[in-house]
Amino acid sequence: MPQLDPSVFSSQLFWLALTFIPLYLILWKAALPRVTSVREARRARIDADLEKAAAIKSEAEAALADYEKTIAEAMAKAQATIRESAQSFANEAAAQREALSTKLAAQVADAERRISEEKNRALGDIGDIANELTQAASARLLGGDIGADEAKSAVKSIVAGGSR
Amino acid sequence: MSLGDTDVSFTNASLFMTIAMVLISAFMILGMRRSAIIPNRWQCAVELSYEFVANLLRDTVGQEGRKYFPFVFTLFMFILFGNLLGMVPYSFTFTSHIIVTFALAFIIFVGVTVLGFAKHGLHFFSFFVPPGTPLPMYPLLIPIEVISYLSRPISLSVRLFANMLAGHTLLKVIAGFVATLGFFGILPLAFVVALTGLEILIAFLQAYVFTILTCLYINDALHMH
Repeated sequence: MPQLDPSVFSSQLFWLALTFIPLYLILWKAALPRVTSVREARRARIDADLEKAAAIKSEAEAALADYEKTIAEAMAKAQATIRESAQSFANEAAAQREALSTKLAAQVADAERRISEEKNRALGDIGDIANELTQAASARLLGGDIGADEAKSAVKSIVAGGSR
Repeated sequence: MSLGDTDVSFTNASLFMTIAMVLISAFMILGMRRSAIIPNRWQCAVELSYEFVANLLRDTVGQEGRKYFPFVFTLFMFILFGNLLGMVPYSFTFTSHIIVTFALAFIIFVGVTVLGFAKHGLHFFSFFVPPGTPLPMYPLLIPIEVISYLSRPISLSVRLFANMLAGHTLLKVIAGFVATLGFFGILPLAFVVALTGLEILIAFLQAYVFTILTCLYINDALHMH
């Protein structure tokens, strides 16, 4: 078989060396470094892009946090304002109510005073009327005037007795 | 043509080795002439072959293997192109010649042995003693390990040589039937077509096997067991 023929061994070994060694040198020194550099450049580019993306992402997150903080602050402020105004309205309403109730109480007291005055006056009048009535009734019944002082004391004793 | 007393005639084998060398160099250098970040198809193919061998070397040897990458890559491309060139009709398959494959395997064997001794000194002899072997087994195991180590270049070269030789011989024998069978020659023709596909697969596979075994030998020399 030609594949096993020793007579061609020397030539094949010579040409193997003469092709394999230059090929090795060409690939080692010229071809492979270019592939390596391209792949490294690509790697670096991808890494840089990823880094940039990460930076932009953190920036966006910071902006979001900022935004949320602003919203929260505004809400807190709004609630404080609402609370404050509600408080002031309540205070004003309480003050007005108090003023009104004092005024009403004064009016009630005044009215009560006038009622009791009227009552006292009416009671006084009732006493006089009773005296006069007693005097007149006794004059009619007994046929003689008993006098104003007598009638008065009689009425007083009856009123006192009645109340006893 | 001769050099001194030795015959160095430019034969078919020499021609196809030269063609392989030129094709590989052209493939690698012209494919990378734009060196773009976003590669075109050719550059993709170049980078694919680079990545394939680089991954192979990294998976078997690890980071220390980077130094040997140019050699392993050259070996892979040279054998792959030698195998594939042999698939072209009327061409010549230099990887089907035992002296070529043996020379490559022998260079690897010598290189790996030198590497092992350079790295581990005389400790490299402990490579022939598998760890955990009981002492009484030494007289039996050490000769076995030594023989298996010494037969590496033979198994490595004969594997490639026999695969290429057998495949191509089979193709030629079956192709010979096509004309003699007349009309029924269509059956061996179909078979030859199928076998050609298989042979292309084997061309890749054997280049891969040769390369991965080289990587494993380098790994053995660097890390022992």
